[in-house]
Amino acid sequence: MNISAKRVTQYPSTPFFLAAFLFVASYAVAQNNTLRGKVIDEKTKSSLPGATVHIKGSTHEVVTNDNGEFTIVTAQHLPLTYSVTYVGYQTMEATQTDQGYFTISMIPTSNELKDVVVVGYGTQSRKNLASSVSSVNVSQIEDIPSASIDQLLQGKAPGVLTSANSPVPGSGIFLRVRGSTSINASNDPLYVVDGVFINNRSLQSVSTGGQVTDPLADLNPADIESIEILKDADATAIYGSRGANGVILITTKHGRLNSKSKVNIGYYYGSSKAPKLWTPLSGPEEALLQNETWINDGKPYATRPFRPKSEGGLGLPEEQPTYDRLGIIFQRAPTHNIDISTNGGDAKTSFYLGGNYFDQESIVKPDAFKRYSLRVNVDHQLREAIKIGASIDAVKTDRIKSPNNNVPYGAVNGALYTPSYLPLFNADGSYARPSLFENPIAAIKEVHFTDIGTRFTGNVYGEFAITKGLKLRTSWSIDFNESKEDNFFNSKTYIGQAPTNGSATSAITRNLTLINEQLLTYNKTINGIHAFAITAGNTVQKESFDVTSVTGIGFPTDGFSQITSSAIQTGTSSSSDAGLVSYFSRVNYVYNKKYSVDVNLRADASSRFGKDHQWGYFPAAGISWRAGQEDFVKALNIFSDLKFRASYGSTGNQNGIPDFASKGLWSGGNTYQDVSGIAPIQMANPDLKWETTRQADFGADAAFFSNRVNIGFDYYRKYTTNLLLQLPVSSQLGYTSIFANAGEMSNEGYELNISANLFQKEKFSWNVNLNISTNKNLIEKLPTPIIKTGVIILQQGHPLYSFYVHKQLGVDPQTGDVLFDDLNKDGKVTDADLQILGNAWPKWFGGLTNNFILFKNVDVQAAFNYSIGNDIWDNTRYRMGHGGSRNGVFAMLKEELNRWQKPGDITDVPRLTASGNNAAIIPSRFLEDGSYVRLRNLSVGYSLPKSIMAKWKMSTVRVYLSAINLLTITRYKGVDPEVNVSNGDQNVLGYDQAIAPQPRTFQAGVNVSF
Amino acid sequence: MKLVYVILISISVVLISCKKVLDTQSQLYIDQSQSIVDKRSAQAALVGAYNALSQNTYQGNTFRYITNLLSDNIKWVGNTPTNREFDVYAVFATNSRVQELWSAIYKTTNIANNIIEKIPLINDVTLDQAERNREKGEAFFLRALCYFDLVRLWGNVPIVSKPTESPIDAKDIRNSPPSEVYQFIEKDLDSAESLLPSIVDRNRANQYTAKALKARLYLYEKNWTKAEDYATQIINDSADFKLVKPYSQFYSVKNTSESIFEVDYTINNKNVYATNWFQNPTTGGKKEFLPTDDFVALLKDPNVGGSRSALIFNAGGVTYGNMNFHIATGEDQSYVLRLAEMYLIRAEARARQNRLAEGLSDLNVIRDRANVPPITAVGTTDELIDKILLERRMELAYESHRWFDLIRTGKAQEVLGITDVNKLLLPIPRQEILINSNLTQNPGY
Repeated sequence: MNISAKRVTQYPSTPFFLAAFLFVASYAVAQNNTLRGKVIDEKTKSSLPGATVHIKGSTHEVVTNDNGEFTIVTAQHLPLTYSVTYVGYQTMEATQTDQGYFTISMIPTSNELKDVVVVGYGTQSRKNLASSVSSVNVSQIEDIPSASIDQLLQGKAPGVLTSANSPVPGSGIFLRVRGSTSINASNDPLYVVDGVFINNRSLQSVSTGGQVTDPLADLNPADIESIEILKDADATAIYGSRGANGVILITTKHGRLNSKSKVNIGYYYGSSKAPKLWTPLSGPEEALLQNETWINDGKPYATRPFRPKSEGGLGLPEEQPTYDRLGIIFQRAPTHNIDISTNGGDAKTSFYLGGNYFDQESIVKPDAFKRYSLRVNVDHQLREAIKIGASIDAVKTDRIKSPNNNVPYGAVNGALYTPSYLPLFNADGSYARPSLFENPIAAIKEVHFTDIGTRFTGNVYGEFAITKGLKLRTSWSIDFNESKEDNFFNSKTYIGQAPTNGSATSAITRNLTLINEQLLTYNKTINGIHAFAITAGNTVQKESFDVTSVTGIGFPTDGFSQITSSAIQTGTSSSSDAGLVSYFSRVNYVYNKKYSVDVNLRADASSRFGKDHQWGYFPAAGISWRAGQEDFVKALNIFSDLKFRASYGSTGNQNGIPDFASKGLWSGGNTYQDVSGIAPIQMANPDLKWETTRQADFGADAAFFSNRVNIGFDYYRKYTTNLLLQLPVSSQLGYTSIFANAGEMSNEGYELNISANLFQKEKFSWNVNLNISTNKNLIEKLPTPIIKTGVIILQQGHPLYSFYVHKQLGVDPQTGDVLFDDLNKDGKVTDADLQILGNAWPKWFGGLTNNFILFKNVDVQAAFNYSIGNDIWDNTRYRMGHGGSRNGVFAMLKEELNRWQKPGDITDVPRLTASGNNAAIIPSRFLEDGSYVRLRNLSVGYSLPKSIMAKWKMSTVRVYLSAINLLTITRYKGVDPEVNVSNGDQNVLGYDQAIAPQPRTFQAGVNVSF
Repeated sequence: MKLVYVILISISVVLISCKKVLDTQSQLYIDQSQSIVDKRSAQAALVGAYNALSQNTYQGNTFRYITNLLSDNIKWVGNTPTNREFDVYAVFATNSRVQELWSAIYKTTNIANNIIEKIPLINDVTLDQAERNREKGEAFFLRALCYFDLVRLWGNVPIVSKPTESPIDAKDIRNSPPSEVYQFIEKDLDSAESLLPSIVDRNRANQYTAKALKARLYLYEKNWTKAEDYATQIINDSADFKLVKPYSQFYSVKNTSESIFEVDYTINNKNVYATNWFQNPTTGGKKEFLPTDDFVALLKDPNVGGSRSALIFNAGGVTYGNMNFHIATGEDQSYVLRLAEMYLIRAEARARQNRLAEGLSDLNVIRDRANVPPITAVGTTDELIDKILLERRMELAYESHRWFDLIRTGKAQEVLGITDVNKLLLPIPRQEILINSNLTQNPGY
């Protein structure tokens, strides 16, 4: 540890002198000693307000003021040793031997290895941390214009796999921490903001056929101070039943005691566009191939569809027009974002106020997302032993939605699938729907679909210091989230056309969570060697979810859109609630800052399970050894630090299953002749219980070259038993499935994180951070395979997200027919020949972030993320590669021009025909390698020099330009390898079906603080 | 010490609330133990059984979808390969429509089983014996109808006659030979016939529907005398059942005097059958069905189709199918039993008994109503049978009869050009075989 302390002779200012005089005068009897000094940054010499100065061996501690100065009145006599702590700096010890003004210089901690990390219900020293926790550097994700925080995590933390589902702003993404542990229960991590569980359940009740709204978009990324991702059992077990999928801890910005109030203003503008679009055939090409299909199918040339109009045909191929539909729905979409915040504090109270306006349009019309948010964080030292505080987050979101994803009445399907020779308008000027799909112009102009979200998250806490080291914290939270969806499909739309004459739905969905929590913490250090930290607490949570919705059809004219005006109205409402009661504790013991042991235990009871199975117990333990502190390691002179970690424990899962999954239920509303009847809807399973995941983790952290290079490595293995499964049962029972605990699953992987400060010169510095992760998922046991729509299968002995198709060996050069792999050699292509040919899991994934600082004031960031070895089922190509069997209904892509035409042709696109296996059997040629490397963010910023800032009385002014998704290297033939049509099914990954690509965005912004 | 109180109070508040937090009750559903317990819930369960029969995965759409595509009256022009499998008689065991129909039928039988088992146990004085009989009788009829559809489509289907209580009930489920299934149906229909009152209700089961279904059952079982007898019982009740004229009248209005049992649909319970027939913008459908060319030609032939040419219409150069589903309200009824079928059953039963003249006269009743000239004479039984079969093809065109008529008369392979005899039965859904190892797949799948 570096200690830097020196004496500076300086005369105290007059007011200070006066104050000190009064102090001395009033306490003269007690022989008190007044000590004064200042805390500064070692390099910049700037003062550090809000640093905590503690006199060792006493309870006395003060906080530095605006100018970084402190004053201590103490009965103790010199020499005294101070211990000074300040966030982002190493803890300093300095000994003052002589009376006088004392300056203490602080050394910043390296960027990557913060000294304190936030863990479940507390903080721990990074150096002695036994568990696996990744911290995300928030400053690295500031320049990316994303509505929600989960999208920003991409490539930033080892073990975190993300995939965007659609380019619609504010819609959900696929995110997994260390693989997937469940089939029917949730695989999403637990999100905790400032210690409060945040609902991550989408409130969307009215389907748009694809994307689902993302509740995390309610959180303004600019309010976030830090993000920690808890991964191993030692870190997550304290969250027990909710920790199996990892925990993402988000800490929002708070004010600092004794600091001058600061105002921060940020603005950016971005412009987004689709970097790549599909290439359907032109009208003449489409016609040519349709004629060829006709002939190939043995039908007479004379009656081919595209023959001269005089012969009753549709005209010759070359006479066909080409209508560009994709150009109609895609746009260059703007983003605006304004953040204004202020923070500060006096001796007892600190505050943070933040406001945000975010407005982003989608590259596919007409979707858009707006957010207005306000956050207030206040902390106040009420009495010496009592601290209170509150966090309030009030958010309104406005979404314009549309059936944009894979639905026939959506804009993308209408624009992509309709063959290009077909007209957009009928002769009478009305919208033409010549194929199955909605007219793209109608889809974006005639549909009105809004979703207004209101979110209020409030938390109040009180913290009581009972005795030295023993604290009680009680906290009470409300998370209220409401969404009001209104849509209107007027009579010009596919859905609202006659005889419907307009259809409107209005729905209100409300999710209310109440949480109460008590936390007792006790910290004690004995003889400076044995450090104990004991935490115990309980949580009670009650959640309710209500939906009320009403639909009206039959509007007098398109001028009426309120349901009151409709002819026929139908309504529905439902509600559900669940409760969770938990007790938890953790004991952390550190010996001599070298060895540490954690023991965690949590007990949870959930109302979702059978009466005898409501309680689940989740223990975990971890140990670490800071070998770098051992003399024999120090003697090696290689490591500046070295630590080994190991942990093992179990966590549970109950999220994602229905609230009454264990009960035998009958439903009402089964009408016949307008009388409501009852019918069984769910078979009872009183044995339903927790899904349990056991996880072992071994890790090492090493630092080299005076902490300039840090390497972290983890190996983990997770094994999940009692999988919560919607288990298919014999339909002959009258039910198709039951919620049961059946099956086992494992995830195993390695994570490597390297961060290095490659150059640290005055005019040039270069920091690089690379992370590489693997995860091998395997369904260890599953009673029966589950076949999902199309090509996805869940089967024992294979990973989740496996693709199950007939293998195409090639195209017979003689006949032009697809050659399929005949597994059972029966000469026929049957179900028995289906094979698992790949899965959507990447072999390697992660990110590479480079940060440069040039000439002190220019910062450059280049951040890549990558995924290697994952497969994608390109269903868009499959649908459009129908080879003639869906002529006139589904357009074909340009690649269809490579079809087999005559004997001897070598190609993988078979002969065009509407009959036979070429059209009927799904071939593996649409299963593709989805590997990619993407330049996620390239940004250049310029900060105005300090001298100018001082003149303007400002602290920072930074302007920047950035480019998002500038470059993608991939062999994938679709428009974007980062794709997934989830349709709300979490067991689907890597399934591309008419999903628009992630936008390429250029952005300019400015940040000012004063 | 104030602090201690704060702690104690907050912890005790929390502990008291714990029990309540964990004891949640669904407001949306009721527990199965409370399902059929009194008069109102028994009535509601029966409504639920009709709802199950009417669901889109059964009578609403899938049953009619599959049986029509398997026939030679309709060809498939749609876009989802799984649907095409029926048109080309190459149905995979993984076909999702096969699975959904199978599940929907057994869902209906499970409600019927619940009603049959639980009604005698109800302790409610307001539920009198007559009503108990009627409700049980309706459940017997529905169960018979379900098993009739099952055995016709799949052959060796498992019989489940007890309500499901828990997953363990699945362990004894295994295939039954068709003969056993037919016996089971006959027994249920006997019970239905004896329990049900003779009150006409064309949307629910009563003694007439039980008799009409018996007529059809005996026709399939080649019990000609009984088939004739039951058909006659309906035909002779001319006060309640009369053919309507013109032909299109029977479907353009709900519950005509010709109807014996039609599954009704309302705004609150719609079917999606119409979407198979028409393409946008005619009515907002998927256009997967078109009448076959030879069927269209027959309908247009005044000596064959007659006024039944109303079953097609022309728009934009394309000939579409036409019936009550033409205006896609979703409220169009699905016909299960009607008087015309009774005449044709009796015609066939009489022909088989070599009473050709009587058979011919029944046939001519139907021809007459369709404005087709009567047939004056036939030489042989086979000739008459062929004529009756053709008449059935025309008269009951979209009502799920053709496929089964061809199979029970042994003509399916020849007429439809199916080389593999195994394809005359659908595959048992693959998922069912995977789940239950006692279940055997039909040969050829």
